[in-house]
Amino acid sequence: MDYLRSIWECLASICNCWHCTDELGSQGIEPSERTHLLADSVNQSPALRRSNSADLSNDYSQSLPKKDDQNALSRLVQNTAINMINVGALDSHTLEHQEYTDRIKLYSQRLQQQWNNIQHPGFVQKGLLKDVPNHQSYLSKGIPSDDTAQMRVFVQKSIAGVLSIQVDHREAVVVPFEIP
Amino acid sequence: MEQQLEKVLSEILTQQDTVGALVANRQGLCLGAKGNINPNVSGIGMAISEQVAKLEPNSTLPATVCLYSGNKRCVIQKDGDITGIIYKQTTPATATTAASAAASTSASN
Repeated sequence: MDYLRSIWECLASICNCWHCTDELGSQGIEPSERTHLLADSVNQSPALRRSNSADLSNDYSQSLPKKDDQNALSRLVQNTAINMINVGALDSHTLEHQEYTDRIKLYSQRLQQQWNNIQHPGFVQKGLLKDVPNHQSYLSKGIPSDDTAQMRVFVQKSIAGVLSIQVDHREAVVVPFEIP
Repeated sequence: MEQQLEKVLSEILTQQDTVGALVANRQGLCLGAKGNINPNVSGIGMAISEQVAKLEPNSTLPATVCLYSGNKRCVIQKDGDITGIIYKQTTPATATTAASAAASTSASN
């Protein structure tokens, strides 16, 4: 909320530049993100209201007087002001160091609260089929013990055999190219 | 260069019922094969042994798998980086010998 308020203060300062704070204050409008930067004075002018209404096409069907040019221009300005978000002004807003540390404390405190509220799942067993009780009975058809023994010896010897693999140097490693 | 591995493979083939033997590395590549075994099974054998090792991840003993099909069986074991695969085939002769041996033991008992 502090941050929103600070953004609003920033927007209010922009409004001040556009001389619209008086109108806002006097109308008692609660400021929000939809509050227009410019006061709605142009829309309230009878000329523009007329141009906004249904007889706009009638106006445009006739040759446009110079006053309508002015109205159209001011309407453009009004629409631009409505659609504009002053990003530069947002960036210019800087936080005090104290504010930063306060927010860090606040956010970490809230995170801690949320973390404590979570129901942590218990210890999860690792491995396949751990959710199946007695998976051995589904999987096993006893391995003959001589197979296991034979395999054990075979793998042990294989490991020794693989480790003993080495390159025999029989020829020169560097061979000169026979360039004619 | 790899004579010792070749020797191990030849030795294993001399054992009873063993028809083929293969050694695969960590990537499932065949390091050596002998007998009636397709060297292309090294990859899938390694993958099976790796999956089986996940059943008991805390076990220090190497996992051993035995696949049965008719009178043949395939034994796979992975120890560290090396996976060994052995094809065994129960010949009718040995089966009858085993059966008669079992019968004689039960008779003697």
